[in-house]
Amino acid sequence: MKRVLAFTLGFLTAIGGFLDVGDLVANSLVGARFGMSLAWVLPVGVVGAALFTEMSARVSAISGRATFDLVRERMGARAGLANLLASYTITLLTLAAEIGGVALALEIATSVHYLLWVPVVLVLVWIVLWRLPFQAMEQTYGLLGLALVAFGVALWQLGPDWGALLGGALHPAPPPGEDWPTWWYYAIAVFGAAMTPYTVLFFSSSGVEEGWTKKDLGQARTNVFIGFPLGGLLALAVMACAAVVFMPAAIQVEHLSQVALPVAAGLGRIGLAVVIVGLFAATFGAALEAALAAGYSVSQYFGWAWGKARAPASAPRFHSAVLLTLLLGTAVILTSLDPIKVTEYSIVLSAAALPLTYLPILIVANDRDYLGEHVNSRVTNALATGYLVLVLVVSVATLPLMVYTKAGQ
Amino acid sequence: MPDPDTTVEVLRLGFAALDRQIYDSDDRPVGKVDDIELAWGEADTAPRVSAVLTDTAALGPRLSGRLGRAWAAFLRRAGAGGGPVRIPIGSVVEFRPATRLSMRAPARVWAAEDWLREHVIGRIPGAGRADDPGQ
Amino acid sequence: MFAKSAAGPSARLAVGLAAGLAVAAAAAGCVPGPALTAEGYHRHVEQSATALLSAVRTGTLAARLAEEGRAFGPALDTAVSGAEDDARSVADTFASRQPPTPGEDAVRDRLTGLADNAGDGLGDLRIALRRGDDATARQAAGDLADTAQSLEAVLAAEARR
Repeated sequence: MKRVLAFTLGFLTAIGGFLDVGDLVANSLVGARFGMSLAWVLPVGVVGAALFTEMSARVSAISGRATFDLVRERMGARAGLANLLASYTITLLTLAAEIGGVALALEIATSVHYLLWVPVVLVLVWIVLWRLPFQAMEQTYGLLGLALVAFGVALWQLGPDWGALLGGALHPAPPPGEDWPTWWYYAIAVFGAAMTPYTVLFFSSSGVEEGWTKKDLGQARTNVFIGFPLGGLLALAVMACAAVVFMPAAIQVEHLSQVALPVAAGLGRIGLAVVIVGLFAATFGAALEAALAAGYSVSQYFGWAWGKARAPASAPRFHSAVLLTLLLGTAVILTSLDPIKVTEYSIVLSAAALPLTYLPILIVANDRDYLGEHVNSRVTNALATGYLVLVLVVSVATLPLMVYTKAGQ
Repeated sequence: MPDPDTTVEVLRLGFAALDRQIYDSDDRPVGKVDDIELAWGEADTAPRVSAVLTDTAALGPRLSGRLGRAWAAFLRRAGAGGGPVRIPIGSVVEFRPATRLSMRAPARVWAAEDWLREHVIGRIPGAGRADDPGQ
Repeated sequence: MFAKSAAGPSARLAVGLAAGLAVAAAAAGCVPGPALTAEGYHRHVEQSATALLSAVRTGTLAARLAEEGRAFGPALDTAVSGAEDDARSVADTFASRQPPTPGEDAVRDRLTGLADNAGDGLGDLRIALRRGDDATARQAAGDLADTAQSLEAVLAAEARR
């Protein structure tokens, strides 16, 4: 059991990367509209996210400090602040989307309108952040999130034409009736949803919270290298379920309630119940991650005492920042903006801002001052540089594509 | 006793000192090195580093441009007067990897932290409870 | 390797990027501009019919799951209500758009009627599912299937143009 629990942090982090509300909606939407033709983006995202998360985990384990704690030291006050503002804004939007996602999951379970759930969600998230110890939090939501395995089981039960699914995945081109710009726009959405910066922020800071040392490096790596591919595989199952059930029926995914329907079709009531628990746990876990990540980034930039494992009274500025961010995120959702639209914009904006997160990580992971002999190997640097170029291209292409395709209409 | 010349460590302020995390003698995170003060007295033959400055107010001039002015104006309005907190250079024990002090940080550094603890965070039940380290 | 003096431009770039993204997001969020040409109007017909078909098929899928006992009330209710809202909002937007020439009146009338059928059919289905009225739900699902077929015919006709 202890061994299983040791991977929960990796899986909880992977939820943020591949199964938060942004990913669930993006993958289901893409599967319904483009079949499996964009499936290749997921492995690209998994490798990229794992690569950079491992780097920041290494920085935490060796130096005892979170990556973004070091960003300001290396980039200076101004660039550091620009970085903070960008990542905070995106994390806030993501948090708003996750709060909306939890409320929507509760609406699916109860058919009570999601806006009535939003204040309840705010209180629940805050209580967990305030009272539940870090490891208990990570284990609870990491394990409950595994309920999303139902997507994989449902796919198998639906008895799809596996050859056709694989064939679709191996032919990366827009299906008939769709054009290339829209297809690329959604490729960016899936990529942006997989590489969301708050995931890295959360994982590297939680390493510090759990007091990782050089000895824990192996476990941190296993967390990343098992948790992330598992998350990516489930994301692939979400996409495939949508491709099997929605695409032939010409159904476009506009609501979280639709995302769960293929599981009901494959597994019936019990499967649906399990998947709703999974949706709740994943969005809730991602809301926890995003709220903490926002607090971490602000506190680390200014050098305040931070940490969820500390008594709140000994880190009052950190806890105030978390609380304020939660209130702001809730306010965004209470304006009755469609949570799914907020989600879509948050993932595309985060795609555009990716270099701001990933460049500093690469710089710090090459710094012998902090890492000594544990700096990046040549292979890691070569791969990471490749990803950095990719991320730059994505960042430059996002804006024009968004305008040209009218946000993928 | 090593030769004195080999023990001289050359530091580039911008690289080794500026924007580093400060911990005081109690190991509490004080803030970042937001600026560095030079003094050139009548008796000095050359300028010398006299203090490190911390506190978010010290950051304003560093940011320069419109952003920096907005920052300073915001802090003025928020009532964070009195200028940045000075920490005399004599109480800095080391700069790298983090700035460590031989003394407890001046009380003024904790103004915002204390206010929030007293008026917001500390008033919520359970504020004094940390995670059980044995977990 | 990362000089602090280089920080200025990158910070400005980030601020500019953020502002640009905000403007782009606002622009992209707007509905397509007024259809001044027949071409633009037909694109609007196609988009509306696609959205309606998606909503209607979500309804028939939910009805099938309900009939087979594969899902429980609240989840189906939420899915059908969402589809109904979508259908009604598409219907409103479509009805408010004026066809540029009388030549488009026929397709406008046809799709307006189908949009109303879609909204009403989904409404009937929602009420029947809430009441647990299987016979009415089956009836509504049948109507929705007919509407879906007509919508597919409209889309096929648009594609042939």
